[in-house]
Amino acid sequence: MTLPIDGYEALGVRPMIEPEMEAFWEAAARGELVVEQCDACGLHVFPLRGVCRRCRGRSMSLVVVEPPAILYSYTVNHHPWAPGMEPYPLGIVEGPGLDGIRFVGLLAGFDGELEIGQPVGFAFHKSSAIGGLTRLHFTPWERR
Amino acid sequence: MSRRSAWARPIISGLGFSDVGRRLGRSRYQLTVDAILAAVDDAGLQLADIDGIACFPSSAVELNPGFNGPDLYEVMDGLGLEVNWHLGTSQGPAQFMSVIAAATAVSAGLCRHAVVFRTTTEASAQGAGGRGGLGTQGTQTEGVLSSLLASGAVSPANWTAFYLRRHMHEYGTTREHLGAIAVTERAYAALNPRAVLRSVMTMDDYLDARVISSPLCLFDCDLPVDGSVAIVVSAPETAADVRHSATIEAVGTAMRHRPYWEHWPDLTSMATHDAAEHMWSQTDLRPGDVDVAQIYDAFSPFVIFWLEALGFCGRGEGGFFVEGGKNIGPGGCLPTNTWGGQLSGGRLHGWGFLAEALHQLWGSADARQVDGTEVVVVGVGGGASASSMLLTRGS
Repeated sequence: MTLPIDGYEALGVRPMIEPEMEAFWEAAARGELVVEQCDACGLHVFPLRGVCRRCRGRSMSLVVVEPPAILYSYTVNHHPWAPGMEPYPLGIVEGPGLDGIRFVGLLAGFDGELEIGQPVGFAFHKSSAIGGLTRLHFTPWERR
Repeated sequence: MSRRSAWARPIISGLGFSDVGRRLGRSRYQLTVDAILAAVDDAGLQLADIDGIACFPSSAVELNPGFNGPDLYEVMDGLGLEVNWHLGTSQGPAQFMSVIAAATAVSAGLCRHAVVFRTTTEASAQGAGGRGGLGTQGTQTEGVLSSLLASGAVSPANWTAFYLRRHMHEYGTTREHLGAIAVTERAYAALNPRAVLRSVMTMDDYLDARVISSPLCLFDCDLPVDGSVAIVVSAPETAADVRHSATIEAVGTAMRHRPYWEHWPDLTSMATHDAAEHMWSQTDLRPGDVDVAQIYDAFSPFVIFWLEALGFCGRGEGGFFVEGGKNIGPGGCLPTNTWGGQLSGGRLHGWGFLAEALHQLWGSADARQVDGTEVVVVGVGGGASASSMLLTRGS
């Protein structure tokens, strides 16, 4: 199923942005997906916290997550939350080596069957639903 | 693993309902008063005997229209309650956090008879427009759901679908397995005058139903209603003074993993597993002792997750356990959701399960009665919070 992002940018709810998460949304506006990594023990942390739950370290660095991520599960939403909506697919992905962190987003441009385990790429779009913030969505992964 | 040494085995001494239905046109406040007065009467007590009160959720911003009940203080004021203990709370181990907190207070001797209620007016609040996604009330969301909602996954149907798809992928669970839950519960609902959906559902009806979020269809999703349910939790030494009693033998409240739908270690398990393990650690009873199960089914896959979590079958076997309804249906080894569940009985947000557990233990389940019921397990919650209780027949 091919899904243009246009029209689905209006789907979502605006998050309250805690101070710790400002850097995440700033990175998204630059087209980057970032998580924290503990400087002491290397644990990846998301949402951004400023503290490591494994070693209680308080020194964290931002790291950019590079695609591809792996499609962990997916669903095709059919129920129209607003009148006239067509079905659209959502995916939940995990990045290799990200200590269990997963991301959820719209799946755009996927023709044919979705398959758990397939690699996906990242793209970003501005969403009016979330106050004009830029957010992540997923695209088919083109092997280079 | 915690070892409980001071649990006094509080009792549930009364149960009360308001009317339950679709768009009743009565305020959440009046429904609540109806249920509380009925519960106190059912216990054979007076309002003056009530010295504790609790509810979930509290007066936090509503997740979706009609989700919250009335303000706790306004209820206390309307009934003229003078209490030794009270609590209204929104964050805790799922829908029984209020019951378990009250039971803990009673067990510790802080109060003697606590009323606990849950009121929802989701049917009226939604109106003719039908079910919307979450967070449509507020302009911003905070907390553990905010990333999901910001991403475009605006409904728990989407999040549950992720889990179900993964469970199907790893264990071969099928839509027919889910259909067996929906069809069996509808058959039970036909025997429940309070259930909102009672017409026959066949497997073909289920398989042909419109998709909500694949693989979930309409009949995998519960039905919003208006209604209030209340219970009285009492000190065990009052058993001779009250009309009937069910003993709270053990409770499970544990959450040992990240409280996020999307970051749960494995999408084929949920907080159900933590709560169930915690509950079993606090009793000598075992799954084999359970006569009837009352298990949260806001979405039908939760039943499969709970059955596995509670140890009625092995990990990944939940679909095969419910296949054909032979185990969970009338006469099966584990009659489950004998009131029709929230799928057919209506979305009383966990409390329909508690009410039916009490009916089964007290022998008042009428045409749905499972003879000789002595032990009932109740599990509520889907996703990152859950709680369970083991209830036994009182004296």
